[in-house]
Amino acid sequence: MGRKDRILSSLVVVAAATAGLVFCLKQIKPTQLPVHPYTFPAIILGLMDALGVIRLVQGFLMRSEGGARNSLRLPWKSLATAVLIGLFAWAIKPVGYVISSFVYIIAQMLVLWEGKKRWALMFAIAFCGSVVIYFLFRNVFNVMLPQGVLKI
Amino acid sequence: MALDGLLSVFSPVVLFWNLFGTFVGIIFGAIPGLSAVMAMVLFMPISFGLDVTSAISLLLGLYVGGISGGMISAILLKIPGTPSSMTTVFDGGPMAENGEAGKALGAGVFFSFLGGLASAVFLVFLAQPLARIAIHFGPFEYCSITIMSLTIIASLAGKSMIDGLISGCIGILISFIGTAPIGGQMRLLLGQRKLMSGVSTVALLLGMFAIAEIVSASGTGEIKAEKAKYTLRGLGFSFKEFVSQIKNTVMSSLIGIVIGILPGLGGNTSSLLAYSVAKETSSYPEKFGTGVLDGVVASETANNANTGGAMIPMLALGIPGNTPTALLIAALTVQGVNCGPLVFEKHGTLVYAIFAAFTLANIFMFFLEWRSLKLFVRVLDVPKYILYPVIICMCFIGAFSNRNRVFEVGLVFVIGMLTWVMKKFGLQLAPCIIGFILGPMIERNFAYAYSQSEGDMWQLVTRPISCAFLALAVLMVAYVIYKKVRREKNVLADDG
Repeated sequence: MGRKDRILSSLVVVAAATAGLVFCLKQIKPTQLPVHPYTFPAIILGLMDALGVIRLVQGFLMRSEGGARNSLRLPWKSLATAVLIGLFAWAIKPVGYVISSFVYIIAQMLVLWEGKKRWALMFAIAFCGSVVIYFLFRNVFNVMLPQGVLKI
Repeated sequence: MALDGLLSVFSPVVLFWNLFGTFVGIIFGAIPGLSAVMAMVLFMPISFGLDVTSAISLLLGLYVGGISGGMISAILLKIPGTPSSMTTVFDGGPMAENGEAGKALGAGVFFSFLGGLASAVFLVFLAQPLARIAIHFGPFEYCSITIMSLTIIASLAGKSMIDGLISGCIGILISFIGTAPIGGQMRLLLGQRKLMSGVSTVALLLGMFAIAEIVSASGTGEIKAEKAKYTLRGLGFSFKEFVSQIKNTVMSSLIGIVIGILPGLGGNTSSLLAYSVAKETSSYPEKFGTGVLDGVVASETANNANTGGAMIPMLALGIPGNTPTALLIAALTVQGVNCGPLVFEKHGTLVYAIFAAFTLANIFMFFLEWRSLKLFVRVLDVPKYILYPVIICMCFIGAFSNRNRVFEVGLVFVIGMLTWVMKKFGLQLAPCIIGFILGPMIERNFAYAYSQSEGDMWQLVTRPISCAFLALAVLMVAYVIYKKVRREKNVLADDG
């Protein structure tokens, strides 16, 4: 990881840990319990904060040419995959497993597949990954996946 | 009595249920999100209709097969099928990438078998005395064991100790989400009441290993690889390699059995500890995580040795060491058998039948997995652009079925994204998982110890067993630091 990336990521760690620590400390009040529920989280966040500061100092002390560059770069295929998985996770309840997984599998293969597309194969895989798996889990493993708009 | 018990499991009907249970268990174990526990819960009603020997053979088969089956997806897909095979991913995954999937699977199958067999021997000969020792362990001892286990973070931290510790802290914080173990107060819910039950291990592992891995791999050249290379002959490894793993196998088996005997620590802790010990005692610790056989052997031996270990307090004391043994106790109770100190006197024949059924389940597991190795490695022939979307679907189903609610699916996605960011920040995953597993244990046991001793925490060092574990923790940390300093000195000397 390069110097700039290390400093940037350390700043995020310190900011998140500090915010969490302030929140936890506000929650700690006198209690009858042996250990307050927020005591351990506060200790861990305090430790994380200190470690983040050390990491930040290490980043400043690093030579500028040290480490690999561009480690925080976001490739478009990774972003597209993350968005598709997020949409699938969001749609699974209202739309149902069968439709959402069918659409997701096709879309994901379109993103990842390089070269000439084999549409028949893509649809066959999407069918197996959605309809076949749905009935397999429902009938064999007794797992009732979300039905959504299809009442099957 | 012993002979009657041993012979009772060799009737065709009992053999069938044992084999069937092991086969189904392997399938449940191999599918990420499904687990041995789920298989046992699903088949529990069926076991009620069987005679007691058949019922326990079926459930033991599901237990043994389920634990071992987890390594299949851990090695081939880099997603642990069950939480106890998470450390198998660390070296099994890279081995598969390096064209050694057959070797990793073969070693996983064989050393799982050895681990299971070792624990069966302990179960037969040392069940009663070991259980009597374990009963003397109180919150202080558990607290010390957890502190000792937390030192694994130091050894698995990789190049940067600071990064490893930050990652461990993140894992501990995730484990704190939900209901506090003492007092039952809700905390760190982030506005989501559905987080009251906390983050499950299944959701964490699926998010960390499946979602984050696939999102990362999608942006790299890995996706272009059409066909993976691998070789497979016999069990995939040589006799020389087997001999080199004997020490590792013995140590990992003992760790698995001992952790199994202690209730509440579980297979996850045993494989983490065994992996850490194998790394620290190895002459090439820097190669761990890049695809060395030792990592797979340590992890798989320990998690299968844990199965027999967990049955020791179950039979001798009636205390379930983990969820599967709790289910076994429930099944035995329904059949009119009460586990505990008197079980050896009242149901001696059945106890020996359980020993035999457990050993047989391990033998069945070995042959079923060994003969299916060639079939398993075919997964690697499937192009990634087909495999990845199907894996995501399976993971979401696994997450959903874990707690039977859609919220878990979203949680897996969020954890996946958090892990992706962590990887981008250069933070390792292993310490995070260790923190997640051990975080609640240390808090719970600390609180129990604090209230039991009315604040006198000096007992942590005045109680001999607790003190021994703490001393071991200090020694482990000192050893890790010593090795790190020596390695850096060697590097500097080489550069000079």
